[in-house]
Amino acid sequence: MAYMQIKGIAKRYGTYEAVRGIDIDIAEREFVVIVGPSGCGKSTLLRMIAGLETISRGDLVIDGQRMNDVRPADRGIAMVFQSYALYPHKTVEQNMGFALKVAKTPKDEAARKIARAAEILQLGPLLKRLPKELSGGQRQRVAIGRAIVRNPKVFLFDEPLSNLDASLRLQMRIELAQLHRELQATMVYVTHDQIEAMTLADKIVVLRDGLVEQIGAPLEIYRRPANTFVAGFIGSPKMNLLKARVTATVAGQARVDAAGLVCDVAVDHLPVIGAEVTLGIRPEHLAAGPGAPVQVQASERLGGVTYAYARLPDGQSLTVQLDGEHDFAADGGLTVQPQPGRAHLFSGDSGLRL
Amino acid sequence: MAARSFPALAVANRILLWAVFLTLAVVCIYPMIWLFLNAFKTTNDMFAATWGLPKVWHWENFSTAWNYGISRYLLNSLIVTTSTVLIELTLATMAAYALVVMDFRAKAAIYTLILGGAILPPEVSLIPLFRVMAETGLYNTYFALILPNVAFGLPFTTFLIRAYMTGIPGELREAALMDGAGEARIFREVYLPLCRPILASAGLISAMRVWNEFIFALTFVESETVKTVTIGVMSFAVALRADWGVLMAGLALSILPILATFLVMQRQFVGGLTSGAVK
Repeated sequence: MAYMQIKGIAKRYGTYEAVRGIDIDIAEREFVVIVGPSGCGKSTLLRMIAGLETISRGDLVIDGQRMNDVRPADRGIAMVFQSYALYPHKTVEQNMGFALKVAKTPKDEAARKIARAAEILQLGPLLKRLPKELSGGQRQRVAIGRAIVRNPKVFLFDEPLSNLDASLRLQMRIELAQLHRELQATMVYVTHDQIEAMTLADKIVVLRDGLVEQIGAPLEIYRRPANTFVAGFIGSPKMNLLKARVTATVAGQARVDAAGLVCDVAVDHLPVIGAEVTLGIRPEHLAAGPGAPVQVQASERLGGVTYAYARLPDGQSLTVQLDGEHDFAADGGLTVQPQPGRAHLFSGDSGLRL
Repeated sequence: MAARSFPALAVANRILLWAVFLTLAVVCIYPMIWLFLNAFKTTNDMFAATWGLPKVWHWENFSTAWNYGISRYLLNSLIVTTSTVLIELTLATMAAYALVVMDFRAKAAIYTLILGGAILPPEVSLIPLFRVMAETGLYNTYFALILPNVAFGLPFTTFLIRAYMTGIPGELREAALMDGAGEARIFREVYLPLCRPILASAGLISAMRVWNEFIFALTFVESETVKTVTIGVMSFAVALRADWGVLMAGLALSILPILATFLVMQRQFVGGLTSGAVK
């Protein structure tokens, strides 16, 4: 298994820079998930690592060796594509064995490797079938099997679950996590789905507009988002980001008021009293109770929890997650209070965490 | 009232449609039936009852025609058609692959240039081509027919195959690159097998064109040993003006191979014409 260093990598198409200088260190056996909205450059970054796109600037280093100009097949990398990219005219066995055939691997050794991958992925009975005779999940497994037989140093996944339905996606997510444990491989995984990022990653890289917004462990990012973008992107339902004013400060703590929602927030950088800031508070960290009055506009009852979509007196939107089933008063009136120590404060200008 | 008139209208429409298509079918098929029926008659029978069935089926007309030289013309046509189709498909497929998957300077201009060949009528180039054939020593050889046929067939065949290849996901090539395959291998092991349907269609379209080609065959060859059926049956007609039954048998023999190929592969033919129209 291998470690990887991405040093100031950029990708330019004409005058447009899709990736604008990214640094990431990926340790051996680490599962890194690159996450971000559409067009943030995550797939371009993955394709540069794979060698399918040239690197305009910066260095890609795998196990101490610069890989910028090395052919895709010689980088020790295998990639699982979003569309699976299985050869439609080849059987499962031929799909998985194609790389071995190209590499002129002796037949018995190739057969052994295919059998081993098929065993890991439970593909044994499907080896003679064509891709069109498989379900979406089975095709996905074949695509992974094709990667496994090459015994790569690094696995790359480009939104591999986005073509699957919700239940299959959950199952494949669990299988991928198991696979990572079993293979002990270095994996780089691109997705726009923050649930995949939170559940699979050892380390999450949040990208926006071709730049890294934050790198960290999933819960670290959840607990301490570096800015309002990351705060809004990681977590479901997304964090409430409210315009607020600082009303008081003591050492390491600021009291803010967002249209009646008053909150004490621990901060590293103390804002001045009266400053306009952004108060971040997740829907699951608000509770019904004596506090700020809000007006519920709509609600979703999911059984276990109820989401209330409300407005503060000044019109700002606020999502509240309440345990169990809730009925609201006919006039939609509700008072909410934040759980202590769970709110975040961001600069009103730069959006950076205070 | 309205509800009842709708089915009536639909039936009338259907009858009209059938009538039109049946008329078209009869117009197309009848000459062929006429040809095959008269191929079994003597000249007297034919003039006595042009539209009737033969009183006696004269199978020997076919063997007479065959021995008269039609066999040689058929063989020549077969050689010219097969060679042309093979060379044309090979070149067009490689050109289409390059145009679809590779990035190179002036790609669009090169494609336009290739397509531009399709608007050049063969007649325009007859005299210069004749000079070229004469000076290169290709005149009166198979190559005098194969090379121009390939050249004039390439634009449309390349267009057809390129359109089909654009429908093959680019990720397949990328997956093959990751698997270590080079372009030649990707072309051979990924794209060619996937292009089989369009290769069959393009091959059939090209074969029909070359089999029926007349102008080059008339201009670039003169020897009986190289003449193809289109020119062969012409001299056949002159020689056999008195024996219409044998002449018809010769004509029937000359269209039989391509007709049989078309009937066997008509599904591919239609598929090829419509492929790329809707993605």
